[in-house]
Amino acid sequence: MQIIKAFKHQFGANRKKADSRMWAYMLAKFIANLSIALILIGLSYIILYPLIYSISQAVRTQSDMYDTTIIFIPKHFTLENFKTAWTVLDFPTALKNTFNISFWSTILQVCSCALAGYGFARFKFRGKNLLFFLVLLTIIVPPSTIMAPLYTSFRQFDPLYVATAMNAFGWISEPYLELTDSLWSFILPAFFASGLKSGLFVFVYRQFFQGFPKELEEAAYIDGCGSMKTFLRILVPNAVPAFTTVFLFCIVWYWNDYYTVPMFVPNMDTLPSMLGNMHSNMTTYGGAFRGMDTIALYPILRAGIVLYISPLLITFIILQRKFTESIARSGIVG
Amino acid sequence: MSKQVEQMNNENLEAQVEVTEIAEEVVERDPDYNKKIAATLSRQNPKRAREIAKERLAQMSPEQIAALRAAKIAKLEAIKAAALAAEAEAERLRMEAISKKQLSDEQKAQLVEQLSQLSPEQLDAVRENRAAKAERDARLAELTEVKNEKKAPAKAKKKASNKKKHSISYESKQSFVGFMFVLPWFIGFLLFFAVPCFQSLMFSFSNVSVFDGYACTWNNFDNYKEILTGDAIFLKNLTSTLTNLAINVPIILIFSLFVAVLLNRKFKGRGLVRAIFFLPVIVTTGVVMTTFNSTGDASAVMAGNVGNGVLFEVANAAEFLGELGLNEKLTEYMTMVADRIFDVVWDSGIQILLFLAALQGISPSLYEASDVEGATAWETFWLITFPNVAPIILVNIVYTIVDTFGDTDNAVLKQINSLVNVTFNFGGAAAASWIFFLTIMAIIGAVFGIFKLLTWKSQ
Repeated sequence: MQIIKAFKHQFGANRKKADSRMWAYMLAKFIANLSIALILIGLSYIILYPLIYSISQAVRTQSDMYDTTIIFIPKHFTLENFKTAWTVLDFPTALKNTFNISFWSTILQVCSCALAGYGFARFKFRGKNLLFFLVLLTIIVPPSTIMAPLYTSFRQFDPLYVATAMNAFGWISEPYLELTDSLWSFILPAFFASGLKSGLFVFVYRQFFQGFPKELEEAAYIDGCGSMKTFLRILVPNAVPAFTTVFLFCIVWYWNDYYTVPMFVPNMDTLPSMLGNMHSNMTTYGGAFRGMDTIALYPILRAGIVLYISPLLITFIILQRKFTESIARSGIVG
Repeated sequence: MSKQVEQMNNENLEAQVEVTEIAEEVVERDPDYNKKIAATLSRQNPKRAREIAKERLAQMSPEQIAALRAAKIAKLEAIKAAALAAEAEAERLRMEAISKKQLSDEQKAQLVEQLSQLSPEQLDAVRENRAAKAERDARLAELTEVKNEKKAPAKAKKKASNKKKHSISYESKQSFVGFMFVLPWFIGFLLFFAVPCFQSLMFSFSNVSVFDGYACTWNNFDNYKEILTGDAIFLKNLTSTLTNLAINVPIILIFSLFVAVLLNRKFKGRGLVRAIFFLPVIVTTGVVMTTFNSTGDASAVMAGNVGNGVLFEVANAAEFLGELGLNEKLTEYMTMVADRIFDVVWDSGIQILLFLAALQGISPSLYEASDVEGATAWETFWLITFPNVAPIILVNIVYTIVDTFGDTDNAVLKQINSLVNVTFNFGGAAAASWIFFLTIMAIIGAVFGIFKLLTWKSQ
């Protein structure tokens, strides 16, 4: 409704300027605007539909599921489903684990990828183009190609025989480090800018820093700043749009990662794994859900989905104004 | 020596100066000529002065010249005599000074007497003192020598190091710093990408048995052969993924450009609508969709047909269109597009984002100009918007391809996963993923080739 009002307003504003012979033109414009508004509203509806529908199902009782007269607004409002989903998901533990994985990896990756992106954007060194081609290659290679060897190497992690040497000194009991089932399997790659979709982030940072005016850095160099100091003092404060964009994407992709997380931490209860197994867990959970109709379980599943995406939604709502308004400035497009 | 030098000088002088001096004397006697100017001239430009003098000489009579010459010779002889006298005087003085330094015999005798009066202890002391002094002097000399030696190489070294410091140019220093910035990524790349990649390649050519660790036995192309000929579903999955991609890419491109243009307009509530359109980026990935799938109602939810509430049912729409008498193929295509609307809308979040960023990069003055020139919206789009957005189309196509192939929900990756997790066929999984990767590379290469061809043709 607001949008239609907006177009009416525009129509009125144009009318002041227009002379009476412009009526046909005005009418055409109004119809165009109206159809655009309708298209946008329709598409927004398609996007929001699963969300609204999930929420609507999550707050209805099981008996309402069988009531064909109910589409969106339930007759018997209840929050029981959320409570059940909370216990089935083991929500506090799963949330804590997922938060630890995604937040710390994101923080590290945002920093390490920024360094690499800056290096690629501003400095000339031998083999730079080859290295950047390798960055692009890491984007293209599907994760499944390297996942199995990566998993085996994480099971018995021993880069350059460091762990063997540590074992020889008696610091650790095994001649290797076991990274699986610990946060290290995410923190270590993220620290070395090789976490989830890191190539894309290096690319985004490179594009951003290339578009950054060189004069500021040169001024800093002349005033005696080192490269690192220049980066921290001059570029980082001015790169907030890029950092926001990368932060949001990074945390979302870690949060939603349904592939590497269950593989690297199979015994850790994370939100994706718990939600993925929610249906099978519920049918074996206690005795209450066993043998129940799947449709009767929908409200609980939907409540689980709503619980799962709510932290992301809150983050997005907080950051979205900055995010959507700063895309142009972040220079992703270059 | 000095006499000889003087004579030689004199001879030289005679040759060089004679003419000049005669000329000067001429000048002196010439009342019309400005003395000062002549002097400065002879100082600053002797050649020119000599020429002038020669001219003047040529004007004079031979008697005058002879007189001048005689006067000059007399003058020179006087100078010579004075110099000889001075030298003789200096010699005499020097001899006198030497004779003064030599002690007279009487004085010597006096000194000896004084020495004999001294006691032997005193003499010893004096001698010791002298020896010590000599020693000290020797040591001092040695030390200074060493010091100088030390200083010299140190200085040389310093110079060398300075040179080195200067020889590390600003550029090479910067390149080092640049590599330091990239180094963490490079380490990560080696540890977490290159090594696993290599291992995966090894796996794909071997039988892999996984117990504690893994053991590989080389078996040439057996894994590839098995995947391509023995596996019933791999090729089917691959082709279905490819056809899906071929259909989705154009739709996603057109749709996301369309939406981006709409979202770039100014209207009330634009921020809200934009936020809604980026929502799929936040929510769409992975589990939520998988959960829909696991409960078996994904397609139903996506098509909007959920058991009790029919929102838009595609089958009905197809029937309806058929009754209207539309072409069957066209109806089929339209229902297919309608079927995909949900997928397309939910998959094009980032593409919309990229197009929108490109659109915002277009300078508003271009639009103002086209407005002034009276271009229609259609013309403005094709002549201003589209050419400016065109470079992003390539980026978007590549991103869509990579995203579709990298999406863990696609059939091929699911099969690879099951090969790893269910049958533990690491070799087969590696072979399958390498075939998959080569397919992606081939497609992306083809896209780049087509784009190059297009831009080359348009030029």
